[in-house]
Amino acid sequence: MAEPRAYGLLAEFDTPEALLDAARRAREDGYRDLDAFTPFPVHGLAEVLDIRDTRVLWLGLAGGVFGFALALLMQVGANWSYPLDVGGRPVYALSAFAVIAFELTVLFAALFPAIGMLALNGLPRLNYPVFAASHFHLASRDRFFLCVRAGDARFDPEQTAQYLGRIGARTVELVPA
Amino acid sequence: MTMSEAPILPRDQSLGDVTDQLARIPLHFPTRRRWLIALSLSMLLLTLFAVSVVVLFTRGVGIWGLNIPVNWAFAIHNYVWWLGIGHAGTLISALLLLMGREWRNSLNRFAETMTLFAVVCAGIYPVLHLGRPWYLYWMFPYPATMGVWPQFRSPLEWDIWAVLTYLTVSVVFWYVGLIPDLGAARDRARRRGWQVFFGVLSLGWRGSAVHWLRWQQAYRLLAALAVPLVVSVHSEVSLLFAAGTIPGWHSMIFPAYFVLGAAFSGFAVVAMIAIVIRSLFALKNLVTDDHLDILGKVLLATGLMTAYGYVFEIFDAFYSGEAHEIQTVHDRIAGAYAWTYWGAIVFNFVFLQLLWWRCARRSPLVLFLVSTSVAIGMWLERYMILVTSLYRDFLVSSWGSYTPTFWDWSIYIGTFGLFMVPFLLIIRLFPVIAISETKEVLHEEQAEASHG
Amino acid sequence: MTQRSAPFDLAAIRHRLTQGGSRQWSSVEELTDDDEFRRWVEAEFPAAATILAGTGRRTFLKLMGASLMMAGLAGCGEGRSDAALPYVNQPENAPPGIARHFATAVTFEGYAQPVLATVYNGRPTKLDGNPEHPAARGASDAFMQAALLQLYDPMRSKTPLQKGQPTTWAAIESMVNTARAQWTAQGGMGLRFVVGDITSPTIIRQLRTLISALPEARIHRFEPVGCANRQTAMQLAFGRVAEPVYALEQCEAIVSLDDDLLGPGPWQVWHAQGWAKRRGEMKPGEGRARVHVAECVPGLTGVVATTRLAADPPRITLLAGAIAARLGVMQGQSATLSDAEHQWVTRAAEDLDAHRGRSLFSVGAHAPARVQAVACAVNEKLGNVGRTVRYREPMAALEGGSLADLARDMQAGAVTTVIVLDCNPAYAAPAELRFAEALGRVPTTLHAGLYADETAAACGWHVPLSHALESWGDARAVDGSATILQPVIGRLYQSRTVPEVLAMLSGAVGPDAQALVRETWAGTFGDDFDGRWRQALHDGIVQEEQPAPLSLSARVPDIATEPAPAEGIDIVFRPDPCVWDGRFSDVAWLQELPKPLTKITWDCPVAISPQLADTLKVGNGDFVELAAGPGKIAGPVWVMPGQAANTAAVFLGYGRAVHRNLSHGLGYAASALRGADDPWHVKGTIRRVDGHRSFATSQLHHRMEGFDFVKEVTASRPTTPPPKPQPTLYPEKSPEGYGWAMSIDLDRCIGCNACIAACNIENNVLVVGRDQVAMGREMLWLRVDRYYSGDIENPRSYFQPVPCMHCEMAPCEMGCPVNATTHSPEGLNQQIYNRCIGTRTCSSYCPYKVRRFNWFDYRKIDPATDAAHNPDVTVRSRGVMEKCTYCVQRIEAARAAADKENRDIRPGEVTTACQQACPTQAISFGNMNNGDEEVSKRRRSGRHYVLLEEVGTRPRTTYLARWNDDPGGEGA
Repeated sequence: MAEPRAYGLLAEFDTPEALLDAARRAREDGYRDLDAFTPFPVHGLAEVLDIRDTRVLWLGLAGGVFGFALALLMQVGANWSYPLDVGGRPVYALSAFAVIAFELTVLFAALFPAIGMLALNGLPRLNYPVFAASHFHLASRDRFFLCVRAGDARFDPEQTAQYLGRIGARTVELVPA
Repeated sequence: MTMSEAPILPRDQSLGDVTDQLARIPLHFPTRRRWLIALSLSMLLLTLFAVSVVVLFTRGVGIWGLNIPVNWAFAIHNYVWWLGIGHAGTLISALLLLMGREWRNSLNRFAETMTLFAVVCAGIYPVLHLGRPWYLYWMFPYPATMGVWPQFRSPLEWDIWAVLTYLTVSVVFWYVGLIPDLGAARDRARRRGWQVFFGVLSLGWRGSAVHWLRWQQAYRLLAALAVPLVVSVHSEVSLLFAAGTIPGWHSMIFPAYFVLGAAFSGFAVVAMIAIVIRSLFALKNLVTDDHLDILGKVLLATGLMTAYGYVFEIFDAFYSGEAHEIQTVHDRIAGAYAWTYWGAIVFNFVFLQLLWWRCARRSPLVLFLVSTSVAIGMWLERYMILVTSLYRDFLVSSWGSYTPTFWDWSIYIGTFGLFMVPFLLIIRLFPVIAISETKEVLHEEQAEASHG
Repeated sequence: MTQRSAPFDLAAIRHRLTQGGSRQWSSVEELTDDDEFRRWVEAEFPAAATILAGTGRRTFLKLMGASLMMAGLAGCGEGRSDAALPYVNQPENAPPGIARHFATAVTFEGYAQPVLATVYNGRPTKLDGNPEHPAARGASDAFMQAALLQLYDPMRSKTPLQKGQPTTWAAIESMVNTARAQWTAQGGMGLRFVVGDITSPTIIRQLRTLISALPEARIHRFEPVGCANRQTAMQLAFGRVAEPVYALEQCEAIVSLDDDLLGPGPWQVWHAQGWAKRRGEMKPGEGRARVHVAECVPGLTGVVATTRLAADPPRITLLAGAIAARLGVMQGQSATLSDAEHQWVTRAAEDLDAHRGRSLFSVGAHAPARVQAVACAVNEKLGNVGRTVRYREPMAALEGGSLADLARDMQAGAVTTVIVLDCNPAYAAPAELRFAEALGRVPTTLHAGLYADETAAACGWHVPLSHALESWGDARAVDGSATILQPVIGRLYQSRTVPEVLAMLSGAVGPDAQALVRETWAGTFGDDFDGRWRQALHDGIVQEEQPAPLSLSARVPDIATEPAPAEGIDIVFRPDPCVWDGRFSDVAWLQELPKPLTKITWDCPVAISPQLADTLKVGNGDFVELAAGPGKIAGPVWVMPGQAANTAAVFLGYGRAVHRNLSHGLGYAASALRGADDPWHVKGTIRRVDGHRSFATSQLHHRMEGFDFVKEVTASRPTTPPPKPQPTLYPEKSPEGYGWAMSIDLDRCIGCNACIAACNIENNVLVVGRDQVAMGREMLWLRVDRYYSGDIENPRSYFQPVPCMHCEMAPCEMGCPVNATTHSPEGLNQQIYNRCIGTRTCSSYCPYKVRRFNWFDYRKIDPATDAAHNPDVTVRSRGVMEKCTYCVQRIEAARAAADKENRDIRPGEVTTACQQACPTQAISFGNMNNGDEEVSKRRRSGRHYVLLEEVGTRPRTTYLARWNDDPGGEGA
C-alpha cells in the first residue's frame, strides 16, 4: 500500500480502565497496528494489545553464561599461562575462582538485558512523532493514550478518528509522520 | 510484614498531583537555602578529604597509626562500614520490589542513590590503603611485560571484582529505574535548559506499552540479580578476614554475620535519610509514618539477627576450645579496646530496644536517634573486629597496639563529604522519589478502594 | 666463599682508582684543597645539626645525610679516598660486582676481632668472623658487624681541629715540632699519654721507644670498662699482672659470681663458642654443662644458667667466701646466708667439687679484687688451672699509671702536655676526677680519635683517626694470636692511624703506616719477611709460637665474711649491650638494635629490681634520681625482673654531650656517679622524681601467657610431644630437589644479637629511628623474642629467634592479590619487592608477624649505611613489604658456583647471615631433602618442634626445644 502521510491517530483516555476497554474493543474490531502510551505500566495492557517479547529475559541468561565463562577462562587461563605455587594451594583452585565467577555472572547478566532493553526499544531516540501531539506531555502525568498507527490495514484518518471517539476517547488527534 | 494490604499512601491525592509534586522538586527546588548550606558544609568535608589524600599519597601510609601487627585499621574497617551501608539501598529497592512490597516505592530512589555513593566511599578506601596506590592496576588482568597475572585466590582480589560489579549493577539498576521519571520531568519542564537536560537523560522515553513491557522485564531481572549480589559482596568482604588464620577472624559465621550487620547499618542510614528528606521536601504524604514504622521494624529485626551473631561468635570461641580464640575473646571484652566492644553492644542493641514500641517507631525523632546510634555502633563493631583481632594475635612477642592519628580521622570524616556532595547534587537534579511507581501504587490502591 | 687476594692487588686497584678518581673529581679537588672550602664544609653541617638537634629523630637522621655528602667532597682532598667512589677505569684484575674477601681485623677495647671483609669495587659491605681464626671461627658479635657502619658513619671526625675550628695537618705538625723541642729539652717532663687498652705490638713498640727517649714522660691507661680491677686482683693473688683465659668447652660445671661470661664484650664470641661446644657434647650424654650464676643484674649467662640466684653486690662477696669455705680454700666461714643463698651455694660447691679439673669458678672483672683473687685460689684448689683456666701475660701489656694520677698531677699543674690516643676520658672518666676541667689547665693538649668527641672539645688540638678498616696496623685477639690489619678501603677523610700519629710525635715526616707495621714484625718474620708477611695478611693471623702459660700459685686474701652494714641501695655500673661505653653511640644502627634483655632501643634506662619499683611505686619510664656522694643522675626506670632486690643498675655509653652528634640528648651520663677507686659499685640513694619517658621497645609483652612458644625438655622427659597429624585439602609437597629449611636450637641461643646484626647488614635492613620503633615499625627481619616464666623476682628467661617461617602452607601468599609473595619450588616463601603494591594482607594473615613494611621511604633516613649496602640485595622503597628471605642471594650465589662446576650444591655450602654470625651455632640451615645434613638431623631430633603447629602452616623454620637440666629446681 502507499506510504502513509500520517504516523497515526492518538486517542486520549482518563483512566487505565478506559484505555484497556478501548484497546480491547479496537482489537475486536480488527485494528492490529496499535500502541499505547501510559504514565506507568498498566496491568494487562500487553495481553490486550497482544504484545509478546521475552528476548530481554533471554539476554539475561546469555549474559550470565557469558560472564561465568569469561571469569573461569580468565582465572584458569592466568594460572595456566603463569602457574605459581601460592601457599601450597592447587594451581586451579576452582573453589577460590568461584567468587569472581559469580560476580562476573551477575555483572553481565545485568548489563545484557539493561542494554538490550534500550536497544530493543530503539532508545535513545530523542524525537518521535507522538511527541508532536498537543496533549502527549500528559502521557507521563495522568493520561492514557491509545495509538492506531497509519500502518494499520483498516486505518483511515477520518473514520478511525470517529471510531475512537465512539469507544470513549476524550480527545483524538492526528499525529503527522 | 503484611503491609501491602493496608493502604500505604493517602488515597485522596490524584496521579497528576503526585507527578507535579515530585517533578517540581528539581524543577522548582523548594528549599534552596537549606540545601546550599548543606552543600557548602559537605564541600568543606570534601576539601578536607582531598587535602588528606594528597598528603597520604605524597608521604605514604605511615601517616596513619598503623604498625606491625596492626597493619590494617581505619582504611579497611571504614571500607566495610561504608559498603555495609550501601547494601541496604539495594535490599530495600530490589528485595522488596520482588516481594511486591509497595511501600518501598517511596524510599527506593534515594535508597539507591545512597547506595551509589556509599559504595564510592567504600571503594576508594582499598586504593588509599595501598602502600603504592599508583600500581593499583596490577590487580587487574592485563598482559604485563613480565607475564604476571593477579592472584585470583586472594580475597583482596575478589574484593576488587565484587565492588566494581556491585557499583556497576547499582548504577544500571538506579538509572533504568530513573528513565521513565526523567521522561515525566522532561514533560513537566518549561525552561529550555531543563527540557534539554531531562530530554537527553530520559533517552526519549515515551511510555509505550511495549517499552513498559521490556522495561519491567529488565528492571525485575536486575532486582533479582541485585539481591544475591549484595549477599555475595558482603560475604566476600567477610572472607577478607575469615580467610586469614588470625584468631577472631578465622570463623565460619563471618559471612552471615557481616551481611546481616551490613543490612542493619544500611537500614539505619536509610531511615535517617528518609526522615531528613521527607521533612526537607515536605513529602509526609509520600514518606508516611507507616513507612517509618516499617523501617523501624526492619531495623529491629536485622538488629536482633546481628545480636545473634555476637552471641555465637563468643560461643564458637569457647566451643572450639582453641586457646588463641579464647584469648581474643578476653581481649575483646576486657582488653585495651574493650570500649569498642561494649560501645558496639550499647549503641547497636540497647537503644534499639525502643523500637519494640509502635509510638517510638512512628516518631521521626526517636527513629532518627536510634538509627544514628546504630550507625555508630556498627562503626565501632568494625573497628573492634579489625583491631582487637590484630593487636594481639598468636605470638605474645608481637603483640602491639593501635591509635588512630589525625590523618586516620581526617580521611574518614572527609569521606562524608565524598558521600554528601554528589548525593545532594542528585536530589537537587533528579526526582527523589520514583514517580511512575508511586503512581502505579496509588492507582492500584484507588482501584481496590473503588471496588470496595 | 673465601676467595682471597693478596694485598698488593688491593694497592694496584687503589692506584688505578686514584687516577680514575682524580680525573673525575678534579674540579672538586681544587675546591677541597682550599682551606676556605674545608672550613665551610665543616662549619656548614654542625650549624645545621644544632638547629635540628631538637627536632624528631627522623629529620635529624635524614639531615645527617648531608654530612656524608660533604664528607665525600672533603675526603676527596686525599687522592686515595677516591677508592670509595665508583670505578672510572676498571682494573683488569677486579671485575666489578664480584665480591673479594680480605682477612683483617677490627679492634674492640684494644683486642683484635678477626674479620673477613667482603669488598665490592673497593667498598667493604660486610664483615664476618674470620673462619680460620681460632678466636672467631667465622662467628661474630654485634660490635664486629657494626664496625662496618662505623666506618661509614657521617659523624666521624673528618679534619684536624684547633680549638674546634678546622685546621690542617701541616698546622698540627708544626705545633708538634715546637712542642717536641721542649719535651726533649726536659726529657719528657710533663708529657703525658692517655691510652685505652692496647694490644697492638706496633703501638706498644712506638710508645716504649718514645718513653725510652723521653724518660720523664708517663703513660696513663684508661679503659672505661676494661679489666683494671682484674689486674689488681691478679696482683693480689699472684703478686704480678696476669690475664686469665677460660676454656669453657672443658667446663662441666661453671660457677659464675656476677660474671657475665656469655654477655657482650671482647670475650663474648670466645666464651660462647666454648660453652656451646660443651653444651653440644652434653646433650648426647657426654658429661654435664651446668652453669650456676649469682648476679645482681640479669645477664645473658643468667638466662642459660642451670640455677640462678639474684644477689646484691655485698652478698656476692659472702657467696664467694661461702663457696671457698665449702671447698676448703678458706677456714671456718660463718656467713649469714639466706636459705636460697645457702641452697645455691651448696649446689654450686657440690658441682665444682664433683668436677675437679672440669669446672670453673669465675668472678666478674668488676667485682672487688679480693673476691676475684679468692676465685683464683679456688680454681687452683680444684685443679682447674691449666685445664679450664690458664694465665698469661696481659695482651694489653703497656705499663702505666691510672687516670686518677693524671688528674691529680694536672690539678697540681705538673703537666705541660697531654696526648689522648683513641679514648674519651673527658666523657667517661668518673666525674669526681673533674678530668675535663683539669685538662683545661694543661697548656698543650692533643686528642686523636675517631670522633670529635667530648675530649676533643676539651683539648686544644684534635686529629681524626682512621678506622681500622682504613688502616695498616696490628692487634692481638683474645686468644693471644696477632692479626695484621690491612686497609680494605681508601681513607674517607683526612685521617691518620695511631702509629702514624705516634710517628709524627717522634718527628717522623710523612710516615708510611704500612712501613711502621712492617718494622714491628721485621724481627718476628726474619729472613722470609715478604712471604710470611703476605701469608699473615692472607690468613688474617700471624703464625708465631704462643708463649707458654704462666704457672702461678695463688695466695688467699681474706675477704669480708659478714655483711657490711648496708645503708642505701647498691648502684652498679654496666656497659650498655649495644653501644658499650659510648664508643659506638653514634652508630644509628646499633642504637636501634634492641638490647637483649629489655628490648629497648635508642635509650638507656635505670634498671631497678621489682622490689625497689614496688617500694618506690614507679613503673617503666618513670624518672628516678640516683645520688651517691656529690653525684646525681636522673633517668627513666626499667623494672628488670630477676634483678637483685636492693640493686639499681646504671648503664654506660649514654648522655653524650657532643651537640652535632646523633647520640646527643639520649639517656644520662653514668660517669656522674662513678667513683675513681671503685668504678663499678657505689652505695647511694634513689628517689622518684617527676617526669616520664616511654621507651621505644621492639617487644611490648614479655610473659608467655600460658602458651608454650618455647618448649623445654628434661632428662625425665627428653622429647617434645610428637607432632599431631595436620590434615590438609591441598596437594602434598614432593621431597625432591633442594628443600631449604632452618632449625634453631633454643638450648644454644644466648640472645647475643649477633644474628640480628649480621642479618641487618647482609640484607640492607634500614634504620627507622626512635619514633618509628616506638610506633612498632622496626624493620628487623629476624627478631629475638624474650619471654619470662615464673615469679618476677627470679624468673626463668627464654630467648627465641624468630625469622620468617617459610611456611609450606603460607597464609600470606594466599592473601596477596598480585602474586608479590609466592612459593619457590625449593620451599622459599619469596617476597618480590618490585611487584608488591603494599596491601599488607600478607602481614595481616601472618601468624608469626615476621613481615615488615616500609611505611615511609626509609631509604632517606640513614644515608650512613648507603655505602655499606649489599649490592646483591634490593634496597626496599616506600610502600613495600619485606621479610627474611633465607638469604636467597647466598643460595643463588652457591647455585651459580655449583652450576659452573656442574655439580649439586654441597651440604653446608649455603650459610645464611644469621647462621654464619651465630657464635653458638644455634642456627643451622640447609637442604632438608638430604637426610645427612645437619638440618635434617635436627628435624629428626626428639627436641624438634614447630612453632604454632596448630595453625597448620607447616613451617620450614623449626626449633629444637631447650634443655632444662634443673627441672623443679629454683631455676625452673
